[in-house]
Parts: sequence; structure tokens; C-alpha cells
Amino acid sequence: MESRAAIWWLAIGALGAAAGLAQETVLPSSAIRIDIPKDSPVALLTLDPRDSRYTARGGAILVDLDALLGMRNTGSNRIHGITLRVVSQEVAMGGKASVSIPRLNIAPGETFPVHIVQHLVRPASLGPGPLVEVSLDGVLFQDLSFYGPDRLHSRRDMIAWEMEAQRDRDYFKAILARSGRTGLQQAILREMDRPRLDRPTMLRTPAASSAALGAGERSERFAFVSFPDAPVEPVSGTAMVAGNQVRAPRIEVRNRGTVAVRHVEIGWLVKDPSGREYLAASVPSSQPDLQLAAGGTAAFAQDAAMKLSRNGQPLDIRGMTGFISQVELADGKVWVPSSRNLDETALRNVLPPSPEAIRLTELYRQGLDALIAELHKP
Amino acid sequence: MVAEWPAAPELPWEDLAAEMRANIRLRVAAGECEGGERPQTEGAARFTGWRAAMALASLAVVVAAGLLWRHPAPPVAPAGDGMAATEAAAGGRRDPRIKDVTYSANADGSTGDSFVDPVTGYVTVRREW
Repeated sequence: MESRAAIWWLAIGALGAAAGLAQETVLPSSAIRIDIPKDSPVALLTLDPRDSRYTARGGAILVDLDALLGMRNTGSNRIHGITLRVVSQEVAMGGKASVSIPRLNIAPGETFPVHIVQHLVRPASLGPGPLVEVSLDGVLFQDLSFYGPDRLHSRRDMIAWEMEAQRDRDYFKAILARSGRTGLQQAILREMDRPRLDRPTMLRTPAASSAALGAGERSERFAFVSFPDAPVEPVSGTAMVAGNQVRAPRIEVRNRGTVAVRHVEIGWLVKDPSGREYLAASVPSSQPDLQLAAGGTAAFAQDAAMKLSRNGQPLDIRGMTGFISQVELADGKVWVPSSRNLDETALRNVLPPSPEAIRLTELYRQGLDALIAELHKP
Repeated sequence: MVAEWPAAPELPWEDLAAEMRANIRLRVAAGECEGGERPQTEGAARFTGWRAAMALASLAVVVAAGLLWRHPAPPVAPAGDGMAATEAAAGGRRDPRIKDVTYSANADGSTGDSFVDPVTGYVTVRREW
């Protein structure tokens, strides 16, 4: 009798332990497939799955990827940026992501790490095979030439980040030359104090794309900030607003340059009751193959709906402003607002920091001397 | 092709059934003769105190695990207004050493963030759909 009871206790304990362990399982490196073309300018040296895990829940597998890739520049140009696609599935939300590292400076033959921390969802019904596939979307070189399939348009983004980086470095260098260490310190502290919203909550609803007003909604018109040197100017625009929810932006732009445009992005600012403005989102031109001829106009609409909050509190939206934040011309050139554009329109105090500004503020945390030494680099 | 079952041995079913019925009646009659309050059985005596607590806790874990297992995956959670809200996955766990995160959203439905990765020291820009 004693032995039978002991067996029962062991069985109950084992069941409980097994149920608990089934919630999270270590993700082996064999479950991560890395796809780097043989002719690419980078090579994979190591893959460390670190603390990657996955959890089977209902009909889905939740993947918590935390992997460290060791890579080498096998080309002949300095690498200034890289973007990887990270995919567990492409059908539903939550299955696709990208990881970009701008502002790299990797000489030929040098190695560098890429750290991927990403949460992904995958239906369990997809069956066997790697749970996550990581592939190269693009590599940007020092001379702004590019390699890669560019499925995520990472070329455009990485060139824009390079241009913003040059703009922001010049801005801080000018302040250092004009106002010395104290002026630079004040400027970097202002950079760290830019107004920011919480991570927005994207909403998925069949009504998100509807042009009809929903309950409690109003159609709000965009006010536009215009840059005289921008190749594109905004003409008109509206979006649906209800409390802290915005949806269905529709914007018309005109190409006032002499070269055709293949991509436009509008910065979407929202205003709270006190008049303070925040960058809510970017509105890209909806057509993937936009060809906006010189002098022509185009209207584009997006179906996204989102809720905005700040410090956990819903943001009561009282107004909206738009500005041209990025333009890609048909010849491949990319335009971003200049320092002068930002200063003359007070956008400098509103926009969140660029990747380069984030890097420089991190250096400032190590000391003002570290930041000044960085700015003195060519 | 299904293999044939071996032939069952001949058993005296009627005799066995009669013997079982007789045994049951005998046990019932013996119980009635004893009367009064029955002493606790050996098994019941052991199922008290910490043993009972342990058993209940284990059962609770099993039930909870079962419920979690059956629960649908949460990328799309119901919002208060009846719309389906997708909390951007926030990239999963966040390293506590990350001091500053700048969030971004795109009207194409994607969200992203930018921060200095504490493992590599590089600025990292993530985007998810």
C-alpha cells in the first residue's frame, strides 16, 4: 500500500511539473534558419541562440527570439548599415519583423555582431521546419551603394538614416563651435527631453478603412508645414479622430520638382489639449510602385487605426499637422528635412531623435568628452 | 490484412458470476453487522494536512496548465470598444539595461522602436508587422 501511494504522489507531481515546463521550451539553434546568399558582402560566422525560447499555446507557437549572430564583412567596401528580415510566418500579424543596424562602420574583413531580440507568433499548423527564418534584406555601404533584395525597402530607410546622421552631426558640431561645451551639453539634454508617446496600439477592424464616420468620430483636417526646398508639397489631408484614436489618413501631395517621385512619407503630428505636439506616425504613400511625375498630384490613403497614449494616459487629440518627412526620387536619391527646415518650423523640438541622435546621447551618458571626441571624428 | 485474433480460452462464466455476487453480498452483510461509526481507512487517514495540500496544489497546476494550453494565442486581443486591438508585440522581453526607447508607428500598420542595444552597443531599429 505504501509503495502504491508513493507512486500516485510521484505521478501527480510529475504531471504538474510537466505542465509547467510545457509552457516554455529552449529554442535550439537548429530551429533558426539563417539565409545569407553566398555572393553577399557579409558572411555568417556564428549563431548563438542565447536565451531564445518558444511556447506552444492553443493553436499557436510564440517565439521569443534572443539570438546573437557573428558576421564578417567579406566585401571590399566599408559597411554602414545592415537590415535583416526575421520571419516566423507572413500570413498573420506578429509573424514578420526587421532588425536594422544603421551607423555601422565595418571595414572589409572585420567582424561585427547582430543581436536579434524579437517576439514572433506562428500557427502550430505550419508543421515541422525552422520556427524562425532570418534573411538578409540589404547592406548599405559607405558610398551609399546597396546590396540585397530590398523586400522591406531597407535601402531607402538606411540612406535616410545616413542623411539624418550627417545632418544631426553637423548640427551638434556647429553648436560646439559656436557655444562650446556648455552649449553642446544643453543641446544634447534638449535632445533627450523630446516629447514622446508610448508604443501605439494598432487596431485591426473592418471599419478602419471605412470613409464613413463612426460613432463619436469626427473628420479632422491636417494643417501642413511646408518646406520650400522639398521636392514634394502636401496639398490637403484628413483623418478620422475619436478621443485618442485616429484612423484612415488620406493625403494629397504634389510633385513640384523636375524629377519623378517613387515614394513619399508624411510625418503625422497630433496635438494635445495644452497645444503640445507629438509625432504619432509616418504615413507612407500607399502605392508600392508610385510614379508621381513632375508637376503631378497623387492622393494616398492608409487603413491603419491606432490608439495613442503618453505615460499610460490616453492622449486627447485636438489637432493634427503633417509635413513631408521623406521623399525617394525616381533616380534613387532620397530627400529628408534639413537642419534649417527643422529650426525654421520648430519641428526640432517635436520630432523624436534620429538613430544617430540616439547614439550620440548614449555617448553623452559616458561623458561629455566621449561625445566631443566622437563629433571630432571625420 | 488484419491478423487473426487467437481463440479465447473456454471459461466457466456462469460459475464465476455467481461466486462474485455471493462475495459482494457477504461484504455488505458484514458491514451492516459492524454498525456505528466507521473507523477512518488507512488511505483516508493519509489524505490530510500537507499531503492534501500538495495534492490540491498539483491538481491546480494541472488544471491551470490545461486552461492555458487551450487558450487561443493572444496577438489579437479584444478591446473595450469591440474593435480587435493588436498590442504591438514590443519585441518581447526588454533588456533592463536599455535606458531609452523611441517608439514609432507607420500608417501601413507596422510599429517599431529604436534603442542602443546593450549587448552590441549599436543603435538598433526594429520594425514589426
